[in-house]
Amino acid sequence: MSETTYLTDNELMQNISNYDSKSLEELYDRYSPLLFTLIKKIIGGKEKAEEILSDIFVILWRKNDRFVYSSNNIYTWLVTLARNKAVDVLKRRDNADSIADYTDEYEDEFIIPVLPREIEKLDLETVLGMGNTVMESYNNLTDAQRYVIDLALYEGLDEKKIAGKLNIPLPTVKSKLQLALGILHQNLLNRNNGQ
Amino acid sequence: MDNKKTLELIKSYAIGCSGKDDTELLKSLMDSDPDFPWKAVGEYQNIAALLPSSLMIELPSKDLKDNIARELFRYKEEIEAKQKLKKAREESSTLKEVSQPETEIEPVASEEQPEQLINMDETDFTQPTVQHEQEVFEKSIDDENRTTTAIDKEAIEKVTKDYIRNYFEKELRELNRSVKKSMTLTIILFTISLLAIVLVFLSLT
Repeated sequence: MSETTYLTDNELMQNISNYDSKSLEELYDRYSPLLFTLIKKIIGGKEKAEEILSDIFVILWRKNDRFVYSSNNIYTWLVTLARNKAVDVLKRRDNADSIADYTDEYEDEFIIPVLPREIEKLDLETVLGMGNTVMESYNNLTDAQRYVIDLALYEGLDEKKIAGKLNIPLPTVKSKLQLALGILHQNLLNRNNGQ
Repeated sequence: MDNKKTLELIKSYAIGCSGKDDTELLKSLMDSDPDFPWKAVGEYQNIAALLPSSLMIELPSKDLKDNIARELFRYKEEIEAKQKLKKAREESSTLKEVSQPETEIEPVASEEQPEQLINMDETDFTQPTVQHEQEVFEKSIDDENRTTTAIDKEAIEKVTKDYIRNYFEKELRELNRSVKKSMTLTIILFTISLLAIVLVFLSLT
């Protein structure tokens, strides 16, 4: 086992900010299965998913200074980064003309997430420790609520597009999303805080 | 705007499905409202990030790590330059704390090479492996017209351009703006002085 194995995600990130490649490797070993799974769920093909995963680690290496260390939440930062990047690739594949050119500035504004300093700490170990809680909370939602959440999270559709796709009024989509997220908030965060 | 509406905007934003108008509205609230509920933003961002953890985990190819290392190696020069700049800034701020220096340290112009700024040893994640080197060698035999030196040169040029664009463009723009301002001010003052001289001369004659 290498010496980086025992470091927390945030400690690894601190080392990465000094371009310590072993810490980056450790972070890759920890997060690549989850990030790959998420990207593949969004994008479909394995090859493309691997290409995007590679891009994520290049962004992490080059732009680690955009991570807010005081948030102490590499988990949410990385998952959101992977989600944003994969959804962007998906949108460009489906409708390239309507999206701005992919520049460094675009990446900084639309791909790299900004977490508030007030965010609760979350790392992979904590998430793994939650066991089936996430799955159970998700399964407790109605089919319609789950579908709307999936369309937003994994297909990158905004509320209007979801309404168009499902052929239902926009307020209905909004209310389903709001309710679903409210239930998840109650089940996941309150339970987590109560432990 | 009431808290309920703000919370609705936050939820949609965190899950990544708010429309353009709602996003702009939320961002303006973030910028202007001193009591903006940042904690709620964090909570819903955490929820959105937790959901993928319930997916059935799949593994990427084993050689992907090596491919990423290869990709990262391309940015070696850029990272070294960043490190150099960071070091120079740190030194500069230390100097400023000690005394008030009249000249600023030039961060990149120095010809001095950084002393092993990036931690890269034989088993380095960002170093291409032996297998990779062999591939590169084979490729170079196949493609005689394009030497590795040319590739390196192109990569360095690209990295340097990106680096300059990212880090100096803003500073140059600001510098240009302040130069323009002082020039305008000088011209105005010169004109006023000239007019005053003419007036004095006319009044005397």
